[in-house]
Amino acid sequence: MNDKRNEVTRRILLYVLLSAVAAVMVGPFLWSLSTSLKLGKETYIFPPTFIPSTVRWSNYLTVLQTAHFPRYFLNSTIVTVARVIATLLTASLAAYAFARLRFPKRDMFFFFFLVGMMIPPQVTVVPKFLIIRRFNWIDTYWGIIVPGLFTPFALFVFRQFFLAIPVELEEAAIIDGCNHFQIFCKIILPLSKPVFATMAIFRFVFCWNELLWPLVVINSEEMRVLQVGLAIFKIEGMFQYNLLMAAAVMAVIPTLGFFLIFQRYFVRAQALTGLKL
Amino acid sequence: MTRTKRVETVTAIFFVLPGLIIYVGFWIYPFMSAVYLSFHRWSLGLGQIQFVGIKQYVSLVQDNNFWNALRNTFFFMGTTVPLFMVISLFLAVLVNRGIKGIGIFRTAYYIPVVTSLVAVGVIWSWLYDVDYGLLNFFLTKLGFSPFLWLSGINTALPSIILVYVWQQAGFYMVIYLAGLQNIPEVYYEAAKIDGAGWWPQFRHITLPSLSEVTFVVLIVAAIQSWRMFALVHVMTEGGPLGSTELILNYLYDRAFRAFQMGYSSSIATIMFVFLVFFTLLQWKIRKRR
Repeated sequence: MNDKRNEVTRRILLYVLLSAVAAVMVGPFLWSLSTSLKLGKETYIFPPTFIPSTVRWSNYLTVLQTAHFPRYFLNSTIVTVARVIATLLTASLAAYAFARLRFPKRDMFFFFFLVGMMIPPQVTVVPKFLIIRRFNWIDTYWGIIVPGLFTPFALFVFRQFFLAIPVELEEAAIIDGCNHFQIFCKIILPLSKPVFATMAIFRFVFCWNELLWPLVVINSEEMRVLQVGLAIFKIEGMFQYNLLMAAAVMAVIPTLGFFLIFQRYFVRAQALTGLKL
Repeated sequence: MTRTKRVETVTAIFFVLPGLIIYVGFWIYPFMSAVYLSFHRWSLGLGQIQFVGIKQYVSLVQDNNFWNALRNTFFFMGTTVPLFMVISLFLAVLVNRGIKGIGIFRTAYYIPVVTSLVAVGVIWSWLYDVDYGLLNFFLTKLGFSPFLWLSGINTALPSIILVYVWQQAGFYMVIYLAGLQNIPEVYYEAAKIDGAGWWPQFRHITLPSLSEVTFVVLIVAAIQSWRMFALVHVMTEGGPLGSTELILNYLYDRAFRAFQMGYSSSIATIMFVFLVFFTLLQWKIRKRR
């Protein structure tokens, strides 16, 4: 009898603890949402209110209409989608070669690709900038996109996955006289949906949330990506915090929505990162 | 070479070429270029590129701002790594159970991880506001005096560290969780039969089984800490008085505000050397165990 009561108490305490931690994790976002709906004068009061007395959805409109916020969204979408699609293509094609084709010095060549994973991006920021500058790609979509068309990490992940696909499945196609490109498209690709989904999400989140590289490449206001725009809003004190929170909420929603819908792929992608080492 | 091998080699060239071009052009070549530039003085737009050899590294060693940034970065790494190892492990243990709704909690703890550091930085800047921020409100309610957070020279960097740990804890939690779930249940059952409580179980089963995973967390967290740029850039821009300037922020400042291409490359090369040194050191320590 006692044991059962203990068990229930323990269970309740557990949920309390879990919820307390959840409150810490999610709380700041809820608070930013709350602030984003306040009037300016209700934002800067002490003690603060938790539920706005007047809910101003128009704060969001204000942000969208001032500066080029919708344009920032568009820019982010373009540079992110382009890089995601390109990375998936370049990395999967190369991975197929390393997983299925035999050519001289193949393993040494693969190691050559892996070495790049150890170079921290910041080491290459300045030279990349100089290269982009030489191509006259400063302040253009190309400048942001082109260096990101391929990553060695994606190559590594795809190759791991392809190596695990049984070769027998392709043997029938080889006998039928298919060339490797056909094998890649007709057999490998359909079987690779999980890894493509995982890498797409991984790459999407990275590119969407990136600050340093877009910041380096972009000069003009219209070419800013979302993160750069938001950063500048904050640093230059362009907005009061209620509007700034509205901007932050809008910046968070894409990846947050993406995450809530495709949760299991996130965890899978991340487990792969842990395996990277 | 047999005919098939020739065909395969040619095919391979086509498959690999796109990735190879980008990789060589934007990974390998820039890396070599960075090292090359580090021996040259070059103010973009102002003068010609000049070879100065070691002199640039000598200036670097004499640069107080550089040492400040390096110190801050070491402090940043030295605090975030242990914090992740403890907090994320705690979270993983907490959510490693099959009770109802645990999935929701795991999801909730991962939410900060997918949100951008820029947005996180903006949101926490508001939480940290000295006069109107929520945190000082709670502090004063509990009877403490308001904290300076990002405004104080000694409190700014710890404040940023807190935000970073908050954002990334879920990331390492997932890694630990995978490790925990690989521990065979029988070990715990045997321990329970022997009468061991949860602490001995933790010490003698959980922790040793996690040594590989812990090592991964250690290395990844250490390396990641050297890449911190966004939070500082958004929340404090390196201030107050450079107390939050990390090595990458300093590099950005030298490269894209002062336009010193050579000097910033020296900083970058030093960063790389440090990272390689650290990774090798940790591998060596691990091998010895």
